[in-house]
Amino acid sequence: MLLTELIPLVKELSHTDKLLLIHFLAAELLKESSLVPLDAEDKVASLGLYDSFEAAAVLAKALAEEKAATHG
Amino acid sequence: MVDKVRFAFTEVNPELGALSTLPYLPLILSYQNRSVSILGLLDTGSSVNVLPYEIGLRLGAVWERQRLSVPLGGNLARFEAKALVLMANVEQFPTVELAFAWTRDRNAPLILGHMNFFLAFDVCFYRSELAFEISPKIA
Repeated sequence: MLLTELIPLVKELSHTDKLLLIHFLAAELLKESSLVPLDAEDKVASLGLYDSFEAAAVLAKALAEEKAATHG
Repeated sequence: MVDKVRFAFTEVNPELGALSTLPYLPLILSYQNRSVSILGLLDTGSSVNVLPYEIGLRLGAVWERQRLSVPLGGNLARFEAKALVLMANVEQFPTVELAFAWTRDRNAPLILGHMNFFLAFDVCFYRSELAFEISPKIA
């Protein structure tokens, strides 16, 4: 779809939906640029190394991959 | 083979003496054909092992070649981290694989945490004696 086709449809959106669309576009652009939203950084920063369980899961995966590569 | 080795806590600040002692473990980390002798902080309060950026570089690891990103919390959340698996030797114990969160933070300490140092070794702390004992996990 072309932008010129999309704009009339966007204009028909409610005020709330237009705001949500802006938020969606901003999130999409951050994701495409591999950037972390500032509020998400705050959420991660509130955690400590003591409960970095997601990080531990990534290390477990790395170990499993290393073992598979070494031992076949 | 000796199954358990005892180490003294390390005094960090001579002015504070015993108040500033921490359990640092001497170990040798290897990656491909390079090795580094280093002290690692035994940290039962850390979910993961953490490798400072410079040590990874000294071992010849290439940041761009590491695929897995590691989402660290706390003070290290601001820095990108990648998973890096190294070989580790402690005393005369058999070599083990340790997976590290290799952080971009150049000032981070080498931390030995639950994943996976404390899965590979059993450690008993005797804080009142300023000592700890370590033994490899029984297979």
